[in-house]
Amino acid sequence: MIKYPLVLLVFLLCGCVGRNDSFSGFFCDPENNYIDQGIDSLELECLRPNVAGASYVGFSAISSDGLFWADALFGNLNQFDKEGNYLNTVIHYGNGPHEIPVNRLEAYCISDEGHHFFLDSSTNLYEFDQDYNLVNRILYYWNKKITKGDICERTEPYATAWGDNVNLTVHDGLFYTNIYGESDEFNITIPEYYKTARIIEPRDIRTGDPFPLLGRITPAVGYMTPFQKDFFRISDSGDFFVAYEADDLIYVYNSKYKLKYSFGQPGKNMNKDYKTLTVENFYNDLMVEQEIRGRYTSLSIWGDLTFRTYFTGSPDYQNRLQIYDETTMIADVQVPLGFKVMGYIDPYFYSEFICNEDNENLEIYRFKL
Amino acid sequence: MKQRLFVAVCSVICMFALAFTTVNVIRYFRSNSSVGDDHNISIASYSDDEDNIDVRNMAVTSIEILPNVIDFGNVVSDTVLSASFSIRNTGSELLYIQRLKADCICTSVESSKVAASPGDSIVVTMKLNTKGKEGKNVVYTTFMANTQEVEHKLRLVAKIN
Repeated sequence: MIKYPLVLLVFLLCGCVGRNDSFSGFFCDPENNYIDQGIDSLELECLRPNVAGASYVGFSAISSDGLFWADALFGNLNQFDKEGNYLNTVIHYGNGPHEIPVNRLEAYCISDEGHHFFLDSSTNLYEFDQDYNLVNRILYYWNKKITKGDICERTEPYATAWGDNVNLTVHDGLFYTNIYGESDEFNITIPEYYKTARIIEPRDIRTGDPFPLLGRITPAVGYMTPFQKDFFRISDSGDFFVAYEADDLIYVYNSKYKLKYSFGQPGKNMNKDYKTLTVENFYNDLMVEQEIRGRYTSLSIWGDLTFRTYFTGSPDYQNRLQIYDETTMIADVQVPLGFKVMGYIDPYFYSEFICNEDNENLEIYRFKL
Repeated sequence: MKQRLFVAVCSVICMFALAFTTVNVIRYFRSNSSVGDDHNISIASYSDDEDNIDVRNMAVTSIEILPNVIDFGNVVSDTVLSASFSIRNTGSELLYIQRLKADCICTSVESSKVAASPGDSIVVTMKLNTKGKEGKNVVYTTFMANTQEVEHKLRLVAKIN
């Protein structure tokens, strides 16, 4: 008779703890983690797309219609053939049906259906169809009013990760952005943040309605260490591939964000002796750390292939690319500065557009596997 | 007697645990609901708030911007950096600029005038307030002009300590 309340008590108490303040269910060690480096180097072909009057600040995407580069400052979208030749400016800045009404863009992507999505700095999301007609525009807000008790559950303490880390992805009726805490009560200076913060926010592409936040900061990110960014990609089947600047592993979750497995090899000769930053001298120390420390810099997926780039830091100061076939690393090769894999148009894999603002040029690299 | 007392205590604890769990469950489902109570989602209007002149429809001239970039190097925080750019009309038509916009609310931008005759210049001044800022900051001002390439940018760079 006594047993049942006790069992119930234990069950209920166990159910009350551990959901919000644990890494369990989000991270695991790899089980099948192999190296079979049949590729010693990549033959990279450099293309030099030419866009008249560009700002040389922008975002790239690829689809069966070719290569696209969105000019982040001038608010237009340019299309190129697979040789990198400029074809047309398919979306201009303006207020017409084929125009985007802001000239400061924060992110750009193409959905599986071939629709083009833009995010501006005022959290407006613009959707253009395959014929470049503006078909939807939504405005969503971050409500900054929070209480301590809300910080683990609600979306309010977060903001979209502006700057060079905006990851906009559209999949199955939702758009996803990476987020970070910026409120006084919930940010990277708070130890609790590292245990409870979420990193990805889904929203409905039609209405902007928020869905439950996803993910956690990996335990590999130490308190106030300089490299806290994350990267995510969603496969055709809806699996999430998530990597972090500071973590050697790549984590794979199913479409419900249940952990499936992890894989990944450490980069070659990476300097990861990260310094713990102080609030007083945060940015100065951060700039020094960014020059000398290694970290992972991008993540891309294509079929069974995963591409991850990294910077070694001192003393080698190399930018390198790892290629994985499922969980087996098949290449770890040096690549040019700024190289990130964008996607595939038969028979080439293409890098993102590399913008050189000072020299006013754009570059793309392509290679075969 | 002891056994009854123990059962009673356990029952009370269970009730508290159940209540606590219920609160958590409610919060969990609230957090999983598609729209939070406090979220104000709205469809913004799609209208033009700019002036009626469109430089794209004007006779084309040419310009020279000096300089394109102003780099202040290392500066202390809590100051206002002022950067002036000269936009010289090097063509043969009247120069007109519009939609002069900074990409950050920390930066104000103003021009000496909006039109310049051939050979004349327009001075655009960007003022960056570094209060609360740290690290490398790059801010842009963009504008449109009746030139071959309509869009132009001005860049201000500073490392704020």
